[in-house]
Amino acid sequence: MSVNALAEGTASFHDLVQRALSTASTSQPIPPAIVQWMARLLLLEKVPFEYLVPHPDMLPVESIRFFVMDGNWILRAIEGAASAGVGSSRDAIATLQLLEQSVGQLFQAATQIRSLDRGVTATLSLEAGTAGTPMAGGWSGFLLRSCAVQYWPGMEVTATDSSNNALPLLRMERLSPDVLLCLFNGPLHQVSIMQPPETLHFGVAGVGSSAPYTHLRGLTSGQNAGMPLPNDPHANVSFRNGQYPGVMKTNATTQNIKTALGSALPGAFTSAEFAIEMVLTAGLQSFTQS
Amino acid sequence: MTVTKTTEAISSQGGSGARARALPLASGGDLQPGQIQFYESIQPPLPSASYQLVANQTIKLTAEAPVYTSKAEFAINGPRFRLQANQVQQVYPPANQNGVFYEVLPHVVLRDRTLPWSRTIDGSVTPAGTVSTPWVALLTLYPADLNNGAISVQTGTVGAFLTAATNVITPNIPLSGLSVAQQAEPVLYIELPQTTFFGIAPTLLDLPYLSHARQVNTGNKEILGMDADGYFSVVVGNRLPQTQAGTTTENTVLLVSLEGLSAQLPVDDATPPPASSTVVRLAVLASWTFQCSATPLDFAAVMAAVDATTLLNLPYTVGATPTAEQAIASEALGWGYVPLENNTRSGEQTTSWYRGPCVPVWASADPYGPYLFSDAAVRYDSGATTATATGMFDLSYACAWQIGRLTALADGAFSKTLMSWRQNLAAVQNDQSAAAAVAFRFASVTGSGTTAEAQAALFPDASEVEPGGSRLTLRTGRSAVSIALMKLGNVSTQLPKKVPHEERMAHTLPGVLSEPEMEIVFSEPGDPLANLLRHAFSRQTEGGSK
Repeated sequence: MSVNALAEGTASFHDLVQRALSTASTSQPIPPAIVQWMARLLLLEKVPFEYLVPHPDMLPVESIRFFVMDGNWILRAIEGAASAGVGSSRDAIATLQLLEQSVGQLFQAATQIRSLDRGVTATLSLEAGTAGTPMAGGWSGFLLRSCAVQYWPGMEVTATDSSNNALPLLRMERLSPDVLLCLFNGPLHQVSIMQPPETLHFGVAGVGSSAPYTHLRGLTSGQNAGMPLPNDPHANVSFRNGQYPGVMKTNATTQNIKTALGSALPGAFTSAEFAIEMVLTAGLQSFTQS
Repeated sequence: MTVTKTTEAISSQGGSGARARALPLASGGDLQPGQIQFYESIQPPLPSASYQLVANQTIKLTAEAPVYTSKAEFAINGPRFRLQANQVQQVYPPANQNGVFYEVLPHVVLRDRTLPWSRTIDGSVTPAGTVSTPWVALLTLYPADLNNGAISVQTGTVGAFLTAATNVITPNIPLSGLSVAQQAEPVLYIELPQTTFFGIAPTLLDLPYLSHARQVNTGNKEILGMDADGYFSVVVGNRLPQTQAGTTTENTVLLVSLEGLSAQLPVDDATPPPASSTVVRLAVLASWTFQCSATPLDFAAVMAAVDATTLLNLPYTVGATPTAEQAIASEALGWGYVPLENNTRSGEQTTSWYRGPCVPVWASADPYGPYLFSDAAVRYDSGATTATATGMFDLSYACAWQIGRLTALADGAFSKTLMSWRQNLAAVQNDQSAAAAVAFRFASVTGSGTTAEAQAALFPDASEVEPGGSRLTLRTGRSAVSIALMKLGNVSTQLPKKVPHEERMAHTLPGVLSEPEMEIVFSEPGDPLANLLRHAFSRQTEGGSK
């Protein structure tokens, strides 16, 4: 390797770090706090929105845009972060040498950040010295800009690759009231966005029409409790007439539900059964990349 | 590449629509993560009330059987006129939230699983094995119901709240049953026109259906904001929020106590409200407001309208026969590049390509990384031939490098951790360097130049070496060389004074330049920074190759 190999472009700093790695006699593990911070940077946390979407026309109102992650870009960001406070070329080489050794660990940490934030795990569990192949299979995601993000907070997102395997969610965050960012560990093929069924609020379908109704669910174990009934029967929801609109005739509605359930009616119909029938149905929207 | 959409309308059959409608109910046995069990009610062992404990003891004698009686009074004081704020686990629609809630019946989740049944609405005793009528209800009030803000929640004491007044219906709870301290407790209450109350309050037949209890196992999902597993009680409102075209409407939801008011509830759904100027006083246990947006859109309709025509790139159109320039530009745009104006370091304005981390096509790994500084990541398109050269810079990775650095600098705690780690790293390198120097200088004594051999000869006592360490350290603050000299006594004269000059290069640290090299750096033409780095790299290369 000639002196000017780097200047001539035949050798890169990458080569030098690789050489340093092969002769390194010691390794100082990167402190967990730094690993976690850098893993968050890999997930584009703290990266200004203008750096993600440099032109507003790329994400117009009421649009969804699929993307894949450019591993080079986020590695450059990591290198920039690691360069903070570098005092000499010796410092820089040593820092990047260890960073290079641990880059697999950073990507591994990034896949655990969501569990960490949700309180599912208390600490990152990392294999030491994972050089590994960063982003095996690639990361991907989508940006959704829609009033739905604002109006239905807590939407549930599930994603699959082209072989219909579920993709783990790496990050899901509202960047602004109407922009949702989701990152997945794997190549995104189809994404389903759903009003989360577990938010379980009560409500009525067909409000504004002449006959508001509710979808009926099975109530006995034989009919798949909680599952929609065959042929999707409805029961009308009655409202009081008069000067105070919107007041549900609760007792009358329970009678409607009992009648509509017919043979699916369990022995007792109480507030528990009523709650199961009145939980509002969630909408679902799928987007497929082809 | 394109994106196609499938909308599962609410009324669609089977498929994912069915999944969306399914409720994760308990399937018998223990609750699985994400499952919910619904209960009609969870009755308290003893409802909140005053009790008298009576003990009778009968002593049987031959002549008589005297009975001794002992009485003890106690009361179970459940929430009655007010509710601690932490008892409310969650409200829906969320407080102060603006959203499309026109089809939602409000509900409140309470931490106390028995609260709706913890007292009776009319003070009666509930027969064992039956479910008492809940004594709380959720009222949804439109702005007009509150006279556009003229009627609001007031504060007072329990005593004043229960004291009758003209044209005011108060709960039928005798003041005599309350202690002085209880009467002095604060209460939040509202005075609703009797007409309004009659119009919107649930009937006695409605009430049992509007409260239920739930057991949840949240597993790894957030369920109704119930972070912990366990039992909760839920009170559901009986009225849909108001929406008005072209504006958002503030809806107020009150969790009120109906204790002592069962006679004031509407008899049935058909009886028209009485026209009177009387108001009904209601204790407010909890209240919140939310904004209901006018757009009567449902989720499926909004999502179906979402545009999914392209991937994340700047939209462009290309004619049937694009020019060479158009072909280059459209290819770049298709790869997610955006032309942006920027100022160069020398001040001139130009247009360069930029592409963020989110790109429409997979990128192959950059073989030239990692980079020590952002300029190294700037790419220039000189073209395969002069004809195809655009002369444009690609600043994507340089920007990435810079934003990473700025982010790090903006985070004080991170920079500090990074610095202390780096100092630690330097200390380890220094130790290694010192060890190498000792090994070299004592080669004549120890017979060989390896660190391990020098260490074995100089420090036979393993306790002087760092645990598990194969390196000499500078822990004592003296140099490794002087420690070694002390150990060896008078052999110092036999030692070479220094590492011979021609060997020094092999013992310097990576990236460190000698003085002559620094001279060369500064005497060379061109950018001193670039020269410095070039020499540092080449030193590293040559040093490593020796």
